[in-house]
Amino acid sequence: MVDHLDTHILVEVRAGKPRAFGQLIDRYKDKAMTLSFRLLGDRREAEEAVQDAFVNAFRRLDQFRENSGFGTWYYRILYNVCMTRLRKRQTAIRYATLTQEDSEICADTDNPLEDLIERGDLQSIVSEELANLPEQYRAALTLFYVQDLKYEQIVEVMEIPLGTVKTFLFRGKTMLRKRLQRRLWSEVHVA
Amino acid sequence: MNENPMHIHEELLEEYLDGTINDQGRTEIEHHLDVCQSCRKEVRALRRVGESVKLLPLDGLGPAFTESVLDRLDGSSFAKGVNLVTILSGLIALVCVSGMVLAAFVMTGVISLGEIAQGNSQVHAQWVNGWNVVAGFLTNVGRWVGFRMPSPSTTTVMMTAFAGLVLFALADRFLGRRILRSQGAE
Repeated sequence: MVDHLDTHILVEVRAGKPRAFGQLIDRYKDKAMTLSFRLLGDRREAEEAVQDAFVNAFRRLDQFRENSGFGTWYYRILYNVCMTRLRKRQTAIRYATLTQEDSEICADTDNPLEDLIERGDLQSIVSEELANLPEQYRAALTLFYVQDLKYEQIVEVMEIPLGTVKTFLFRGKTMLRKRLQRRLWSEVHVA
Repeated sequence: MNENPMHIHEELLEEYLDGTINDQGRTEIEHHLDVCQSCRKEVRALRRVGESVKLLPLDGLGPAFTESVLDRLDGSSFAKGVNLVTILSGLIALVCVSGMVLAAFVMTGVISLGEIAQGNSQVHAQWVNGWNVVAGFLTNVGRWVGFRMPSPSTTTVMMTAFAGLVLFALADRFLGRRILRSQGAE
């Protein structure tokens, strides 16, 4: 998806005004930081990753093909930078499977999430539980809900097939929902 | 809870909420939701999960961040200057051109592999002569085809420059991509 303002800024940058790139940074930095922080879990490292990704993007602007949109292209660079950092940390890539505990919660229809959500400190709980999801699920959910990317754009960013994107989103949401349900249910009952 | 065939599978409900389902599927789901309280609850719960993620505050970066990135960019340009990649590419191009010339000499019989192995003192002269033979051949072919060709010596220079340029571009592209990939940009 091509953004006309991005295109206009890129024309200026290519015309010899590199500082116009700052406008692109301003447009994307907060959402980029959110993605980076959710993937890396460390604020300082997340900021470094966002910065590295912007520098890499600038140096490789001649390779940017405008059919995909600057945002999608930049998020792809950022995602790769974050994944490289995660690999350096030797974090094992985990593919989630539903635990027995999750399945039990799934079968429990007496504590619908919508009732429980009203009672808890939702924002901090969602944030914590999101951080505990496997990184691919975190990435897919963040790209979908924060970056507002379509499935096909997430395919480009994460370089995985469309079916895998759908699976990551579905499993991520299911897992998050069950964890929220368990967490909120326990908080209500302990209170 | 979704084993019951009377209810819609959660994954389909997710696609319905994400707006990625086709019109017919959407209509069928909406008809079902009209009559199924359990699925309506499910949809509301799924929607709340999505909204809860969407509504989380962004992890913002201040204006100082933009300035610090721009400071890092001041020393660089996307129009590439002379850097390590360029130097390495030049060296690779040089080696490749030398190899091509050598191969041309061996194939045209100007020098033999044995002479190269022995480091024959005439190899250097033959090297130049051989390259001239190739240039002369190309000049004759060009004239035969009907082109107005420069002298063989000019052709030699042009041929060497062109081969070097092509190889340099290929090497730069290849090395550039390798480095880019290692930086996570590809």
